Amino acid sequence: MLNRYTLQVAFISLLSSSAIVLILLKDQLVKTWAKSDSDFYQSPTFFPSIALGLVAISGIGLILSRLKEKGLTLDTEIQSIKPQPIVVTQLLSLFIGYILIIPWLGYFLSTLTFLTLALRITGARGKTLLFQPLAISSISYGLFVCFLEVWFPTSWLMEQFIRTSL
Amino acid sequence: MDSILENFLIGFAEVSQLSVLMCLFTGSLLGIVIGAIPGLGPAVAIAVLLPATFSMEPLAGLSLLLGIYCASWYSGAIPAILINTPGTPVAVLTTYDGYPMTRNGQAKRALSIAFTSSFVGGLISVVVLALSATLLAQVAKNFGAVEFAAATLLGMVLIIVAHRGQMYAASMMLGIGLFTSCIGLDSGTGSPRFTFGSTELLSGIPLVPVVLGIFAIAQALVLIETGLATHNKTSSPEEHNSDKGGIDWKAIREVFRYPVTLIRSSAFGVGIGVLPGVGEFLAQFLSYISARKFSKQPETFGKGNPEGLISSESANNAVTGAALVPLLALGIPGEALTAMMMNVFMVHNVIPGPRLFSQSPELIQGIYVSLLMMNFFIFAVLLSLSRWAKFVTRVRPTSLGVTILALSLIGTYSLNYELSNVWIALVFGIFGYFGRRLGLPLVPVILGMVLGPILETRLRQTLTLGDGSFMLFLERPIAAGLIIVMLLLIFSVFVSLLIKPKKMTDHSSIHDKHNQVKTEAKLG
Repeated sequence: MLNRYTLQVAFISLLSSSAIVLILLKDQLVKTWAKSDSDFYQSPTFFPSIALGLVAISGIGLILSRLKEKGLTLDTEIQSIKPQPIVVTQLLSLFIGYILIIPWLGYFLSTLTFLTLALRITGARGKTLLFQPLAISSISYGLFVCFLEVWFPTSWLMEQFIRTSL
Repeated sequence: MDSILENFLIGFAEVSQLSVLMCLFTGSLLGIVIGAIPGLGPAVAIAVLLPATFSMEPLAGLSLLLGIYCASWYSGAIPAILINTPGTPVAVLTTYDGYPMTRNGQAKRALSIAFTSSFVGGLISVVVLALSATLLAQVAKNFGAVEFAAATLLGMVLIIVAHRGQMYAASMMLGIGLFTSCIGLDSGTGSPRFTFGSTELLSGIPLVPVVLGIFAIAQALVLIETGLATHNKTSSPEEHNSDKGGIDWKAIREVFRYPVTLIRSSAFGVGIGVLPGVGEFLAQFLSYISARKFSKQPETFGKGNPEGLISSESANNAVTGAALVPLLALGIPGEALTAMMMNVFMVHNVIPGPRLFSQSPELIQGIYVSLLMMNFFIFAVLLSLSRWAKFVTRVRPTSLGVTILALSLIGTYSLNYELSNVWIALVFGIFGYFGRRLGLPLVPVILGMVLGPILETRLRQTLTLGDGSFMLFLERPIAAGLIIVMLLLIFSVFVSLLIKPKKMTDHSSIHDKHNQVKTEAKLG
């Protein structure tokens, strides 16, 4: 059965084995301009190798200790909270959609759409679903776009609007 | 004496600029609200606002972030005392004696004691920061590449050792941070490293999207899960009874009836806060244990003893100023929040470290005065507004989580107006979510990213000086001292793992309760 313990070991194994693969492929993944006879510490792969070595060795150590103790040290802060994989996947997909629709709808409308849908997924209904996204989008737009002057390119929708009105 | 006054006036002149004052007050007010909302924490707010501070003057930007940092440590006590839910993780021990006092109808008293203890701890930490950072910077003037490399290595070992019980995981996460800092063009040779042909990655992975991913996006997802898990739970009768607040002047005076506890706890806070990676948890833990040990009524600890409240609150607030010592004096941040603050310096081409004290003394003095002023401001605001603090504690975690997700996007985008950074934040958000869910420490990733370039450069310089030999670490006295401390630390860890002291019952019972309260707190 796939429990948290198994998942943790799988996650660490993935990170650790990725580090090993990167160490093995480092000569292909790092372009070396320096002469081949230069000292090892001048090589661009010197420090990444140390870092990846640390990941690989600690990962192996962690997996071995987990397998030995057969226990699981979960973050106690969220230990008793039931994971919500469907909600999390929905929200992450929505977030990806949010990034993608910004060039089309612009910041304000995209944020409003994202917040409405995300709050709907998380169980908000009625007035909350109506006013909260509007309030947060407006405050966020006012603060970042108007006050802090964060620049966004003209959206596709706005371009259409300008074209139509001209 | 004259020079102290002169320095204070220089700092005061810097802080009295309107932009700095505005940031100081805004940051403090934001911090109070953020600290009082359980599960949010200052890291999320600092991560979201970090890019916005890049367009500000360094002192203004730092005052904003420091305001959030300090104020949230104060106000984390509000939900800990009123609803038995720590606002910030460091307020966990505050629940032990704070909440029982609320249940006994002494919420006002508990809040006043907590704020006053925090205020004293905060003031002591500013004094220690001003004295020790200057002294350490004097010593660090003699630091060369070898000493900086040794100090950075020691910092890393401390970060790993601080995660006792999770040292393998902390090393692995530190390694991931170090590796992430290597992606992009190598500063020494100009070679592209691990960019996989992407031109966007040539300039490296910026810290801000990683911080936002790990602290904001991951935390938002966990908050939403928490909110959904507690959706149908009704609050306990005690919670309704605890809707009290305000000032109790008698309680403010009561704090000073325990001067030894106050000073000892603050000393734990500043002493441990200075050490990179060790952090406020250990300071608070040791402070509480020693307060109980030396108390005349140890049996009342955990049942509403004001001394317990004083020990935990003064210790965790004393850490705030002390945590800045390694950053300002050595340019080595000790924990995630100061690592984010280091970014504010770097963006303005101000390099923290010993030279900063001679190159920009006004900035250093400005930081001290800013910290001092914000402690007075936060204390005054909390005393006058704590009556309404209960409302902040009632924010729905799901709404909060969704809002953080939306803010993460604009926070990351505003760094350089590129959506590619948002994708990086998303990747690290997913990584952070799994890390949190699977109990892996994530702070070392950030520290690794910040310390990586420092260590790589200094290590290369050291090896070049030593012609490829590591012996320079042992030939230079300061570096040798630091390496010996590092080796002793590693040795002590191995010894403690082998011996495993049996006399842990006292400490472990607090640890168990600590974990239990944290879990219960999250479930409302």
